[in-house]
Amino acid sequence: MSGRVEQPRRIWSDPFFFAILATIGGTYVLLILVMLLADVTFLVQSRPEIPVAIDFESRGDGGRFQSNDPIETAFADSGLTIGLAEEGPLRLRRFDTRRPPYAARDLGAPHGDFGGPGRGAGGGRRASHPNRHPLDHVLLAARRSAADPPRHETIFDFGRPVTLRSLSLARPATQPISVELHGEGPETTEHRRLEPGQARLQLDVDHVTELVLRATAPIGRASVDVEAARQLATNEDGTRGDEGPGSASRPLAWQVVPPASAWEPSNDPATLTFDWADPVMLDRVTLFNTEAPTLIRLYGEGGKLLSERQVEPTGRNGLLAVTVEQEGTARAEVALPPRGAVAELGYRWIGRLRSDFERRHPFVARWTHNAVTMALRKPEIRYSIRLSLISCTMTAVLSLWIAIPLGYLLSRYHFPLRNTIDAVLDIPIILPPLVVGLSLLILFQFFPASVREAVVYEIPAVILAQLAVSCAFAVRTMRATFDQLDVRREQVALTLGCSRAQAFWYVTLPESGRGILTAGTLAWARALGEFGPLLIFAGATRMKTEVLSTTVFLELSVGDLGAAVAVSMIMVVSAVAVLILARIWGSRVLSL
Amino acid sequence: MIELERVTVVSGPFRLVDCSFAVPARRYGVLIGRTGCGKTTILEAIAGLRRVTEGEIRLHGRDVTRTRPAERNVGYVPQDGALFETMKVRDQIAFPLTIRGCRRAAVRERVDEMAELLGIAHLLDRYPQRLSGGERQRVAIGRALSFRPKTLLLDEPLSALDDATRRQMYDLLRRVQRETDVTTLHVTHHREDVKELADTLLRLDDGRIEVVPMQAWADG
Repeated sequence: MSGRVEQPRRIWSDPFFFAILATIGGTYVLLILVMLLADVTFLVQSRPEIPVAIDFESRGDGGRFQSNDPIETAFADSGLTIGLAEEGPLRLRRFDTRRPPYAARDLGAPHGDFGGPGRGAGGGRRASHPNRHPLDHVLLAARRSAADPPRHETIFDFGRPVTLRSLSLARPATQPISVELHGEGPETTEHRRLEPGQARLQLDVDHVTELVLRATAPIGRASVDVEAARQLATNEDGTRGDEGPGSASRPLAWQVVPPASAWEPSNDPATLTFDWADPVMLDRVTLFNTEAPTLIRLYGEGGKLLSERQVEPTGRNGLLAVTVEQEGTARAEVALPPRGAVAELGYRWIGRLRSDFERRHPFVARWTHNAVTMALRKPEIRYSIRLSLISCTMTAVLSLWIAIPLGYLLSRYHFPLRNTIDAVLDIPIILPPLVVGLSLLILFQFFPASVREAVVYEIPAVILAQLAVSCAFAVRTMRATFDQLDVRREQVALTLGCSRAQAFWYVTLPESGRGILTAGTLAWARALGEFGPLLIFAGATRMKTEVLSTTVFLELSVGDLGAAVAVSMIMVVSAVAVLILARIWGSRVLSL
Repeated sequence: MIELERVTVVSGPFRLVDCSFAVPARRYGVLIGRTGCGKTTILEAIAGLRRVTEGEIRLHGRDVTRTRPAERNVGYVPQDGALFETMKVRDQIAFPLTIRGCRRAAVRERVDEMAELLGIAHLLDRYPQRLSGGERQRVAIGRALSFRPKTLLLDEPLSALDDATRRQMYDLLRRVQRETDVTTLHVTHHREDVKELADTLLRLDDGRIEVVPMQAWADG
């Protein structure tokens, strides 16, 4: 460097003036630091917890219950095991209030919204309890039914609305069989009938979620043709059978509902126990059909009694959500009156089972398990990190590919429209980001459909949107880099026998290395923060065009502040890393 | 032989009109003039880095007025040496030969030869940032002469050097000229350079060049 800059002045030479400058400038510096500090504090303080609502309808892993799934360990993946306090003849059973067995046919009141006896209780549009789903399964203590059901049932539960083509029986009906086709909403039940001697019934009904066959004699093996020639069948004894070949595009989580008649609600009081592998924040317990007060006891770790409360009766077929909100619950005991049931359980926990190591060293576990590691565990966020790294790197490389020749051209040559081109390069920098995205979107309306479909709302759009803005910064930086390089060295190279291209390649390009690094990192950092154009031009589709900035937006919009801050911190860290990289190896004269 | 005949160079507001002179072959010409009077411009015109609007430049009888710098076979040493920042001294000196596609052994031999001549053998593996002013000039001269040009243009090569180094450089330049038989044009504003080096003396004044007989110069 030829020009020497005068040394900065000592602060005590003009203390008052220094104080004024420092106050005004320091406020901003402080704001930046405090902002980042607040993020870190939030992450350290936040205890990532996943809300879990167990309604006994689906298993803890999200799958559907099959007839032989034990309820006791069905939620072990959610840290919960269930049991009965007393040993005895009673067993825990899921009980479907939509289809009460003969011996308890008064359990599960018909609900106006869901029409028809035995189908749905509470939880409808007019109900006010927090379970948003219509009540179906509840958990209760049951005993083996003494009364034999006077009728036989086979129930296909399809899990989602399907189109039914036909119903076939392995052997013709001996007695009339009533066929009920249930849809999703109220007033959607259709009734058909299989006459004695008939073995096949053409159905052709859309939007069926359940098919119920009822007869006074055993029905035997039944099968239905569903949608695209797929066949579902029961076994001879009415349990779930095989799934015939079919060109089904969508998987179907169907089941055959186990005959509920074998067990019936106990007429004795029973205490249900809920044990958690790790203490949880127990939010609520929803009770059903308690006709006497219920006692709820909550224990912490080591069996310490945390609270004990008596809950008023719900009344026959009534539903009551008891707000508990007990931190550190390790065990809950619900002493139910006869025929009472637990309809739902809501709690918050860390989302996975802790290892022994984490139990022994809770402080270390804080570092291995926090909002950031939780975020990193989500496949969407992993995808978005991967896509961000790839797309930003590609954008940086492409930006340099454009910026090096363009910067050199603007720095070394005078040509017509040079100033105009210079001004055009400012457009992406000053334009509102949304407008850049919109302009790209509009541009691609003029392309053939095949090109448009390959780019718009796809990964190429991500790179193109990032490039549109980042490249302008890279060109600026490269131009400044070349402006600072002495032309003289290039001229000497020319006299030494180089062509213009050789002089550029062997002399100028190596000397602009630091500038290239600065331009590349700048483009990379800009691309990482790009959001507006991406949203418009590439969309915000999870696992497709989701980059880190999109993730922050998406996580915020679903209310997951912890994940949003965690992803923000990932971006802050990578941006700071890039900044340090640029400061250490990049040009000291050019800044980001 | 460096010959300029009625050469006009226009560069922005600066004009050098109708300028003629000659430096005989294998002689050391010194062009003297005040700072900012266009000495560098003349060197650049001869090296082919500045466009000549009128007139003719001939190097050893060949008209090079419209020839590319690479084809003029001129060694050019600008004022600060303009060494390539990313190359070691060895690579700087080898650069013109590498560009010309010389064999590696030949390149190495020539680099050693130049290093010997200029006394920079111990500097070959250094980068230019770690060289002193005199060392930089030697390297620049080595780079300019490694491809055996017939013409050497020096732009104030000694201006930034202290007296002791300057004296060494006089010896060096004389020896280089004697051993390589290169026709040299040395631009300076130092009177001592003339006394020590010049075979032919040219003075640039107000855009005109006059040949000053050495005898007249010695007489003052």
